[in-house]
Amino acid sequence: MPILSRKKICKFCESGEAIDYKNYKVLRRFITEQGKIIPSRITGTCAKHQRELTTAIKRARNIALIPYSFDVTQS
Amino acid sequence: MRYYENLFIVNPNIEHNRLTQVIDSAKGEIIRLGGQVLFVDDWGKKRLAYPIEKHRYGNYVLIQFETENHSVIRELGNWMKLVADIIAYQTIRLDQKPEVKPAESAAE
Repeated sequence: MPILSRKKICKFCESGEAIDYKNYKVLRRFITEQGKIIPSRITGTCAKHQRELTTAIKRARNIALIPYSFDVTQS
Repeated sequence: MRYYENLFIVNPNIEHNRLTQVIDSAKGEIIRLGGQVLFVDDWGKKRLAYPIEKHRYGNYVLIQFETENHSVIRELGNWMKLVADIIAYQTIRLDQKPEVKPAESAAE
């Protein structure tokens, strides 16, 4: 039996939801506590949507919708 | 025809009628540069993810427009830099014509 427990499914392929930098609440799920973009091998996002996601996160950062980094020292 | 959207942040400390004035002048600037304004949305005051020019809050305004002339983007950027009440802006090219009412969920 395969070691992998189950195949990850891309959330955006599944829902058909468009990736938009303005919809920052969705983007928040794809960044770490420090604010880094989570790799697709962890989230299961497909390559096409991961590329779109990366662009969207960077745009959202630029206009202060999501932070470049969270303050790690404070906590 | 190409479609663009500009999201800019206005200083939250100005009065409401001054905000309307800034939005109107932004619309006027797009028209002056040869664009056509399709949709304007004021998101209201929101907390910024990081401080910009020492502001912790900002008033987000979204403007969607169409134009043939791509130099509008640069010109609009140059203009927005000079407006003291606009603390940040970003222009994005849209792949297709925006729907009449873009996603509400982002704007709340």
